[in-house]
Amino acid sequence: MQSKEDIKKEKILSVFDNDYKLLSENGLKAKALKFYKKNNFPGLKDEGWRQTNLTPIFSNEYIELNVDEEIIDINNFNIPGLEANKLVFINGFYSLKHSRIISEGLQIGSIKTLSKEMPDVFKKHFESTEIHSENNFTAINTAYAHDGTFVYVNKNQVIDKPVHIFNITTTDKSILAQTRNLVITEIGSGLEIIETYHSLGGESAFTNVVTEVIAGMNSSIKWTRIQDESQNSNHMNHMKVVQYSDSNFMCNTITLSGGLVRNNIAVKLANEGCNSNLFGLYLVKGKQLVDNYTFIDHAMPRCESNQVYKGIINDEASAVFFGRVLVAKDAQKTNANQTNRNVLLSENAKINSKPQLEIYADDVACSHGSTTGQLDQDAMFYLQSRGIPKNKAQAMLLYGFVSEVIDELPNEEIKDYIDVSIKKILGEE
Amino acid sequence: MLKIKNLKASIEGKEILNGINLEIKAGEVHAIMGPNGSGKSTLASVLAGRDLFKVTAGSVEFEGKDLLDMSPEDRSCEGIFLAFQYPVEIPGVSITNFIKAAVNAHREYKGLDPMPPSQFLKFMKEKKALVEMESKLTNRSVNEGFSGGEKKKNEIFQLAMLEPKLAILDETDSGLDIDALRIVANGVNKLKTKDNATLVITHYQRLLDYIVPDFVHVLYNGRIVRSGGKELAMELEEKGYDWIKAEVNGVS
Repeated sequence: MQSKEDIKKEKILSVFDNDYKLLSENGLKAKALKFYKKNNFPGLKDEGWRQTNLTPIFSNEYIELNVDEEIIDINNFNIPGLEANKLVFINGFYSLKHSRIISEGLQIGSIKTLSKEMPDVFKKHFESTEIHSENNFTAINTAYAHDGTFVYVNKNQVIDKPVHIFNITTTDKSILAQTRNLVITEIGSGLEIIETYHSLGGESAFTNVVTEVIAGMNSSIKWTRIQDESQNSNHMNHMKVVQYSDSNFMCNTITLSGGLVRNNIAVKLANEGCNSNLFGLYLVKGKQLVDNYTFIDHAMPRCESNQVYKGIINDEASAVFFGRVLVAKDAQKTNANQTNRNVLLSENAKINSKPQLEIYADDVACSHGSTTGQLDQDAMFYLQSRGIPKNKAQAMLLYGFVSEVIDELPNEEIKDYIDVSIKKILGEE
Repeated sequence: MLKIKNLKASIEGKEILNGINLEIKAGEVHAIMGPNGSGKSTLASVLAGRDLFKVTAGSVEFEGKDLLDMSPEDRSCEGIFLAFQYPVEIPGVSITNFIKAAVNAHREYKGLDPMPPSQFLKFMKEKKALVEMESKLTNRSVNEGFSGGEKKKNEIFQLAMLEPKLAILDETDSGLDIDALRIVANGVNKLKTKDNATLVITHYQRLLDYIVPDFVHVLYNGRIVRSGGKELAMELEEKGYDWIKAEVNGVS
């Protein structure tokens, strides 16, 4: 008899067309499938997943769907004023029609195409970032990703315009969309990426994303992920980053809306002098669950990492923050800070916050902290006593609470976009 | 303008105000003095509408309307202003945005459109000058990392921007050096007209050298136990509060 876990695996596996050939040439697909069959999906018994009920993911019958690109109006999802190289994925499939590269000399595009054009680079880096977070979600993605973004930035090349990756699901049926991204920045190069996720309609899509980032020596990557999907959607996001000497990596994860959202970010600081900044912001309401899991592996000396995650949780929604910082024995002069702050707006809202430091070196400066509370009533009264109505006062305070994260966003257009979106959600305007 | 009759208020069942009677008319400056714990700040909070305190008896009429029936924001829009003893820090909200929201809320209450941005900036510049407020300060988050003097100047700046009918200054002088005190008091004096009124709450007589009251009231155990002219403040400065306490306790 099949176990419950086997049924889950069978269900997800059966969605994919077996003839689909992205990675099969080099045996990686076979390897990933072997892993998939041997292991179960993570569950409530597994460390790092205890607070995250994944049932919604497995309670739908999914399909793959490559729709007619003509029917999608991409302009709805543009960030006003942002001049960017655009890559568009609809249900995980690359849309040539909507994508547009404006920077010169950029090696960027569909991973399906570019992995063939640059086989050596692809082979060298694809699946090279195995860091603690392999599971059946990453394995099924490795085996059957529909497409994804491939970016290769040459030595000392600095991309003048950001790369905006649009991910859209057309949810009139339950779509399973898998994208696979591979980003490599060579020595001394610079890159800014904005990833946005949208759904058209209310059905329960499942977006399963895996992103690998290889930040070469002294290179700099600024990444912003904006999740704005329907209340019934499921989103599983694994980002695996390896940083080499003196590289800078920044990732802002902004969750505006979604049903079940899990963001895994694992960063390995593989050489000295790296700087890593992870910022997060989540606005959770209804019955949503937003879960941010971070893991920073300080493997080498003289690296710095900062994490600031802030959330506002309303109604019966819940949020999870699990942040793990590991400082290896040899990682002297490490500087690591981790902060998670939450505001609960209702009695039934829930937060599980667990910042964790594991330190094996003795000459380090590390801190972590977590706070959860209601709105400051003294501050509310202060605003009201100046004539500001209660609703507006609450919105202003909440906006003030999250503004620290907005201030960190890498450019003015994104700041404005998030500013407007958040004010709308908070009822500030 | 303000008529307080037999006002009683409590917090967590403990009576703090024990039957206050006070009338303030337009153009007047009243001072309430009293020892610590006499209920001075509670009176200020109750008038501004803080819901920590429960009004158990009495009435407050403001310009003919029942003040106790109004939300804190409506009281503000009707013309009550409380300068806080301990102004709250509000991270992430700039003074400019804060005061713009306040000014426009007042305008909306009166059925006016929001103030045009250029006019607002000019208005703000004028009022900043009044309290000698550093120009950059308004870009910073409300009271965050401000010195004691900056916080109190910010209170008087807001007072100037909102042009209330009745300004209640709760221990505005506490913790101020003499220069800051002079600036703050000058600001208040310049805003005085024959149509508005000021209620100064203070423990010390010092502030009253700068903001000269028409009436002085002594609050003790939640009641006004003595009222007089500004010479009463001088007397308290000289003799302290003990003689009043003794007098009241002796009588009761």
